[in-house]
Amino acid sequence: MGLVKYALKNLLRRPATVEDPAAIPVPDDYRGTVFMHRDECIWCLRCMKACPANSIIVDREKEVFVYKYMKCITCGICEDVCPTDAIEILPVPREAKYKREWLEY
Amino acid sequence: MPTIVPFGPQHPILVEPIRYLLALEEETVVGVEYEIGYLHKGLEKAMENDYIKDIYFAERVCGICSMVHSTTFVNAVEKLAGIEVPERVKFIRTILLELERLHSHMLWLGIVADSIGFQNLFMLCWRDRELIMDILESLTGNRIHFSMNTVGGLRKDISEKGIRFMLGNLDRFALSVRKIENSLYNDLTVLKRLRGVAYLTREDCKRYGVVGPNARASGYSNDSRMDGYEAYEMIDFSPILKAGGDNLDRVVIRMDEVLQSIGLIRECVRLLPDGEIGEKYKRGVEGETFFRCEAPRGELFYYVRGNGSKKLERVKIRTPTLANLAMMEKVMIGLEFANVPATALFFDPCMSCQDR
Repeated sequence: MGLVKYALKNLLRRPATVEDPAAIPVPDDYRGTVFMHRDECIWCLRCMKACPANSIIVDREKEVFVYKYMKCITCGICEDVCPTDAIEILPVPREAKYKREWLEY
Repeated sequence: MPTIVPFGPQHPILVEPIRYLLALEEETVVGVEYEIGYLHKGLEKAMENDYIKDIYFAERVCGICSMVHSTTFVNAVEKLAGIEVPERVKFIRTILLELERLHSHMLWLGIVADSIGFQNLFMLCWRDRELIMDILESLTGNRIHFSMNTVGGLRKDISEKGIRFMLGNLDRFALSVRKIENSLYNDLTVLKRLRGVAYLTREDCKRYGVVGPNARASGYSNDSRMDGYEAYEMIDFSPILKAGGDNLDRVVIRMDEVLQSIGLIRECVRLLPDGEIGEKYKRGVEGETFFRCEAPRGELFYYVRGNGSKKLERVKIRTPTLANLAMMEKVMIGLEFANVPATALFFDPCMSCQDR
């Protein structure tokens, strides 16, 4: 009897797994994708110096901002040190698929 | 003349690589040697760097217990700099440390259940572990590498909403743990498989320097939380001890610790004071010091030396797995070969920590 009850209970319950991982809601302060607002940047190089994984390379003269997706550890320290809030970490989960240019190390 | 049988580094039962050489006489183990270093990453050398960057290196020593690594490192640097962090910081760190212990023990129980052929329990444990991972994600913003600590305090506060979510999930988790305990302790096969296997006495624990739950399962009181770092001096805490010293008691003590940790978290939330979350320390550090914390696997030790600048001269990490490995030479001898794979996992190895 106990077994039947248990089986029926499990039949009616939602599965523990989720079909699509992208459908799981993430919290508001989730650290996902690094986004840089180009017009707010003052090229102070603070993010480049602070990054533990050396994933940001900034050239002040040429005004080039290179972000290495595969090196980034999403610690959020670049967002902390940025004086003008030009770098923002969006609560968008990192993708499981990679584009070719992201793989550049 | 014993037969030499290699076990690992690649073996279906081993999650991470370690190599055992077993000397067998028929089916009984008569001698053991082990070889480590398959996951050496050179993290100690990489940590001779700016101490703010080192916090993130320290977090990445281990993929399971990242908070305890960063907390120990940060505490060592704070000790050098002479900073006293605010009480709220201490309590939040303690909550995260205990949450980490919960998910680490559930992960271990799942792997161990798998190794003795109890696949269903493996799935149940890992399903319930997700509750804890969801809590951690909502409190800190990430599942494993929280990046919460900084020298002098925390990088961000935890929200009231997050605490409410945590308490709700913890209630559900506690119920599941009770169910798992029930199915584990009433299973005749599990009891027969675990009771009396890989016995270790209290004296042997002292001689081999065993730490953490493995030592406490043999009645050897070895818990760094009794030192009273962070908020442990402000809450009512005493380590759980068991006298059996076999594989069954290693399961029982971890399950008891899970329930104890839930209690500690609830007490921390009850006592959580309002206030600041500390200020970031930016000057250099000088001198040398060490700090010990209780990781889920046992005592974690960090040695830090600074020369007055922001760059550290030397960081030495001693992880609990390295301390616990020595006892394998004792517990493996006399075992049946069929019990070797389970016993190799029962002392909770984390090779990624161990090789650094």
